[in-house]
Amino acid sequence: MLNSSSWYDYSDSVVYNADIVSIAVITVSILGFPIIFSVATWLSTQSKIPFPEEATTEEMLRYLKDPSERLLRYFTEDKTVGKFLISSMIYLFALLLSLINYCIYIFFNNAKFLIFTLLICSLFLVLIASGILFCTLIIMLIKGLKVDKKDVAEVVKRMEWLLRDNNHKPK
Amino acid sequence: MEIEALEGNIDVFVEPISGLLNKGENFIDLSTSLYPAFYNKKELKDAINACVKKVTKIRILLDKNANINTLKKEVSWIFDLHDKNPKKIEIAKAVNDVEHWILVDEKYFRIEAKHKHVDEEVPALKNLIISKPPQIIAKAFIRQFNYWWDLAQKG
Repeated sequence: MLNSSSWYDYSDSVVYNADIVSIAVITVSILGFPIIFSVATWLSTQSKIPFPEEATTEEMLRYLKDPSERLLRYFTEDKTVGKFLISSMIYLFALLLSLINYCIYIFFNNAKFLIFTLLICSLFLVLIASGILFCTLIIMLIKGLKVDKKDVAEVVKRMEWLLRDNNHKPK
Repeated sequence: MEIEALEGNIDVFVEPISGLLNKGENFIDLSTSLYPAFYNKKELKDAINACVKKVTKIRILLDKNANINTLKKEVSWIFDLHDKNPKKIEIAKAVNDVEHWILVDEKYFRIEAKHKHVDEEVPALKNLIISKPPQIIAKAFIRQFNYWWDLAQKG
């Protein structure tokens, strides 16, 4: 399948590059689909774990103060899990496209333009999936560690005030 | 995000809380003891009546210490509203300790300081009104309320 003498023989350089691209597309999508799909599934189960029965504002404060918990909450948001699932599906689609491409090569070995087009399409799919994944990770990290940090700190501060000395009678 | 800290007797909370309810467009969740001296204020009545026309769902989660029969007499207008709009307004009684919150559209939240001793005659002294907090905070409040609601006695 990846023998440079037979795959994309427009010219020697194209043959070499096409094979490299094809190996890269197949490898990334073979690894990308199961890994990202498993991560998305795990995150989605994490988001469904309920709070402890007696969870209170104090409990909420405890986890808002914990950066790892806070980051986990961001990663378990429906939107994030959705983006992970979408990128895993795109990896799967790229893999299927590569397999179709291989079948076309086996049965219609002269359809070089189609084979080359499909290779480019699968490459773009892998790039799009990786782009979505990368952007999601960066956005989550920025949101969790920088953007919302100030707001979360403000809410924590105010909640501590709310919980402090609340046992006096109204004046 | 904006946070307003309120402290005082119930009169201090009437305007901010009715204002909060007036912002509702989709849903309102309340965990409350329906303290009659507060919920019988004209501003609160008007705000809740306006909400019924605007939002698609109002869930009222009564404190586990609330006496429904007494409340049906003292804040009868809320139960009348429920009878007229049974699909829109749901009332349930909590089975575990709940805090008194108001959640409006995943955007506006009223958090009341927990009473250290359960005494229905003592009004809340401290409240936070949080507008448009980060999503993780909004989701945490909603998730907690849903947890209380799922356990509560309905009907």
